[in-house]
Amino acid sequence: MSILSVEHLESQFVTEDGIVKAVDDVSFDIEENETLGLVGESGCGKTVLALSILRLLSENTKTSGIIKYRGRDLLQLEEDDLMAIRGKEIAQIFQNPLSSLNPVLTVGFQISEPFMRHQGLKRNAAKIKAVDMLERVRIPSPEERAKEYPHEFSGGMRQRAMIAMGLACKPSLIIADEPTRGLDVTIQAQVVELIKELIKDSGASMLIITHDLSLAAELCDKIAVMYSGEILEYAGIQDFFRKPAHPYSECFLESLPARGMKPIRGISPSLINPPPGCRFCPRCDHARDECKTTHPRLMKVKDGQYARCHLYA
Amino acid sequence: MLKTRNLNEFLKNKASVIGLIIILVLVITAVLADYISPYDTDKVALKEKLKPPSWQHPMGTDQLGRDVLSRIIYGTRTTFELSLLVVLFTSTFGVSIGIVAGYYRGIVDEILMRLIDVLLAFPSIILALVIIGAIGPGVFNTVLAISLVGWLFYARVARASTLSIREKEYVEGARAMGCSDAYICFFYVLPNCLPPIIVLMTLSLGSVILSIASLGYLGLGAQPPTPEWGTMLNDGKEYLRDCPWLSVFPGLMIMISVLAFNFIGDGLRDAIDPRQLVIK
Amino acid sequence: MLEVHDLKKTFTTGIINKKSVNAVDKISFSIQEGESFGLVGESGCGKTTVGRLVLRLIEPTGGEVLFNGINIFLLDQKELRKIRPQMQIIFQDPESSLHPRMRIGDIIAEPLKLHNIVPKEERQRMVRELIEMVGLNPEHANRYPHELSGGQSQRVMLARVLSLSPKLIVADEPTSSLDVSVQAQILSLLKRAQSECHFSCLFISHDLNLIRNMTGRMGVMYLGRMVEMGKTSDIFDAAMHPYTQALLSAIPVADPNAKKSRIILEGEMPNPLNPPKGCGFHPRCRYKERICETSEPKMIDVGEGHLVSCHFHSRRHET
Repeated sequence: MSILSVEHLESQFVTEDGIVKAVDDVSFDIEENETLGLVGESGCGKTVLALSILRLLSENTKTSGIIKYRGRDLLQLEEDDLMAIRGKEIAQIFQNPLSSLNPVLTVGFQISEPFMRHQGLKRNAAKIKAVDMLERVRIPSPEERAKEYPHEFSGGMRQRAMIAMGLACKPSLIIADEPTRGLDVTIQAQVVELIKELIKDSGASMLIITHDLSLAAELCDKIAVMYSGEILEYAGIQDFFRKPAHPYSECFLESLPARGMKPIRGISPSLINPPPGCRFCPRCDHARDECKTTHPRLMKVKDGQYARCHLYA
Repeated sequence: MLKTRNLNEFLKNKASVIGLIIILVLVITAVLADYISPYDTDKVALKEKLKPPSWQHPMGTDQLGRDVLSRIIYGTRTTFELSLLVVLFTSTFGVSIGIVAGYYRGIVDEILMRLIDVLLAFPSIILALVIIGAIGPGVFNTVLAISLVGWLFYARVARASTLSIREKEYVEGARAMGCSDAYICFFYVLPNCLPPIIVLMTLSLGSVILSIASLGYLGLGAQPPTPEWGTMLNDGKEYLRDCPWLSVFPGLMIMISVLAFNFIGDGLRDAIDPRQLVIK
Repeated sequence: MLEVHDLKKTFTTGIINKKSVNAVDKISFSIQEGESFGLVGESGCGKTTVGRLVLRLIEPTGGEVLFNGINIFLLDQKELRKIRPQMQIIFQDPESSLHPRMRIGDIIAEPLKLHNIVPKEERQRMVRELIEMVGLNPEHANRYPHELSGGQSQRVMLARVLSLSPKLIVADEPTSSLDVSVQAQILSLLKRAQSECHFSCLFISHDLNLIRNMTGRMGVMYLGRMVEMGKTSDIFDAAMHPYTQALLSAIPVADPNAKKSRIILEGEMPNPLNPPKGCGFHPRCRYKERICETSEPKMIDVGEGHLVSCHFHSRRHET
C-alpha cells in the first residue's frame, strides 16, 4: 500500500473575478521510502495542493476528492484525528522560515513543541530532545542556539531549524514546500546534503514542492509536472531528464540557463475559466487541431511514465 | 486609488453608509439653508421668547425669540464651512511638513519631529485656548487656533508614509532617471501617501467639529449673532432646567455629525486598507 | 567606458556604540563599451551596494567611479542629473519598481518628457515603439502595474530605461523573482536589446548559470571584497579562488546522474560587523594556513586578465 494516495483531488476558491480551480483533478501515489517531486512554475497550484493534503487551506476554499494516508482518507477525518497525524506522522516544512517560525518563541521551544504534543514529554525532556535535533541538523553549539530567537538565526539555519521541527517525531511522510528558496547557493548545497542524509537515515517518504528542476534532480525518485492546476507529466526521475514526454516538460527543461535558456513563448493561462482543450496548447510547438478542442487525459507513454498529451493517444 | 472594489467594501459597511447619508443631508442643509430655513435667524421677537417646540417652531425659540430650528440650520453651514477650512489648512500644511521631514531626514527631520513632539504634549484644546487668548475670539481666529494645533497628526502620518515610500525601488528609479527632489516628493511620494491621509481627514472632521463647538461653548468661537452649535449650547446652559430644548438640539446635532464622520472614517479606513486575501 | 577604482562604502550603525560595516572594500574593475560584466556573490557580499554606488544612488566612502573619463563623485547635483540618463538601473522586484499609480504608457513616457528626448508630438509614437520592442501589446499602455505579471513589469522597466538610450545599464538581479521560463524570455530580450541599442551592462546576480549565459567577463565578491575576476569562460573552466571553486561546485545541476563530488563549505557567511582578520574567507577555506589569518591577500594577475586574491593562487587546487 502506498503511503500517500491522492485521487481526483480538486481545490477551488472563489474570488471576485470568478472561481479559481487551483487544483483540478490531480491524482498521484507516493510509496514507502520514495520521494516525489511536484514541479511547476508559480501559479500552477502546487502550494495549494500541498496545503490541501493536511487541510491547511483557509475557509473559503472547497476541496474534494480522496487523500489516503496509509489507507485512511484524510479529507474525511475528524479534526482531532487529523491533529494527531499532523506533525507526528505527516510533517510539513514551509517555505520562508522567517515567517513560518514564531518570532516571539525561542527556537528550542518551537522544536520541543512536537515532542510535548505528540509524545507527551514534559518540558525539560522535550528540551533535551530539541537540542538533540538541532545537533542532528548540524547547527553548531546547539545548546546555546536553542535559547535564541528565529531572527537571530541566519537563513540557512532557520531552514535547518524548520527541518528539525519537521523531523522531530520521525514522521513517515514529509511535505517540503520549496525547502531551499531564498537560500544562498552554498547554503543550499549544505541543506540539500542534509536532507538527503536525513531521509536516508529515517526512511521517510517525501513530497517536495518546487519550481527548481535541479533540486528535483538531486532529491527525487519520481517527478510530477504541474501546469495550470493539472498534472501534465508523471515519470521516474531518470526518464524525465533523459527523455521528457510532454512538450511542456521539454520546454521547461530547455528554458533552464544551463540547457540553453530557450524561452517558452506566450504566458501561462489564468486558473479562472481555463481553455476547453489542452491548457498548454497555445504555447506548444506540436499543437494539432484536436488539442484546441479536446481536453487530453493522462496517457501511458511507457511503464511508469504518463503524459497528458494527444501525442500519446 | 479608490477602485470599485474598495467602493463596494465601503458600501457594505452599514454604519459608514448611514454616516454618509447623514453627512449628505447636513451638507445639503447647509448649502440650501437660505431656502429651507423657516425664519430669519436674526429675527428678534421678544414676545415669542423661550417657547417650547410646537408646530410653528419645531425646535422652540431661544431667549431672544429666535427660531431654534433656523439657527440650527444656519449653524450647520457655519460649522461645516469652518471645519472644511480647518481640515484643508491643516492637511496641506501638515502633509508638506511631514513629507519634507521624511524625505530629507537628517537634522531637518530631527528638529521638526522634536517640535511636533513638544506640541503634541499639550492637550490641543488648551493650546487652542492659549492662541485664542493671544489673538482674541472670532470665527477666523477659531480656524487659525485649531489649525495651528491640528496639523501635527498629518505631519506624523505623512512622514511615516514618506519614510517607507522613499525606500521603494520606483523612487530610486526616479532618482536614477534624474528627477529633482521636488518632483519626486510631489509626483511620487505625495500620491502614495494619500490613502491614510484621506482617512485621517475624514476622521479629523469629526474632532474639528467638536473643537469648534467647544470653543463656541466657551464663548471664544463664533461671536453673536452668528449661529453656531457650540455658542447655542453656551446660551442654553442657563435655561437648562426649564427650557432644555435650547441645549438638547444643538447638542444632538454635534453628536450626530461627529458620529457620522467617525463612521465614514472607519469605513474608509477598512475599505482602503489592503485586505486582499490572495492564495497563490 | 566605466572604470571603478578602489571603491569603498562603510555603513555605520548606532550613536553611542558605533559599529561599522565595510560593505564594499577596495573594489576595482572596468567595463568596455558594449560589454557585459557580471558581478557574482551571495547575500551580504556587497554586490548590490556596488551597483548603487556605480550610479551614485548612494554616496561612497572612498574611491572613484569614472564614467567616460569623468569622476561622477566629483560632480555637483546639477551636473550629475545631466548625465544620469546615460546610466540606468533595472531592479529585482517588479512589484515595487514601477510607480503604482501611473499607467504603463505614462511610466515609459516620463523619461522622454523629463529630458525632452523627442518633441511632444513624437512621444506617443516612441512609446509605442518601445512597447513593441519589449514584446508587449500596445493596449498594455493603459494598464496599471498591479495588473501586470512579473515578467510584463520587467519588460516595462526595460522599455522605460531604454527610452533614454543609456550607455550603461545596471541589472540588479533582474530575474530573481521570476519563473524560470519567464526568466528565459526576459534575459533573451535583454540580450537582443543590448545588440540593438549597444549599451554596456553590469549584471549583478547570485545565479552563476545566468552569469555564464549573459556575460563575457565577471567578478566574484565575498564580504565586500573582490576575490576573483576575469573572463567568464576562464573562471568557469579554471577557477582559482577556493570560494569561487566552492561556488561553482555548488551550482545545482538539472541531471540526476551528475557527479556529486561537491565542495561543501563549512559554516556560514561571517557577521559583517565582525569580519575575520586577514583573508575574509579563511574560516571556511580548505587550504587555510597561518598567513591567511593575519594578512589580507592582494589581487594578482595570473595571466590574460585573470585576477585572484589568494595567498596560494599559484598552487593548483584540486577541483
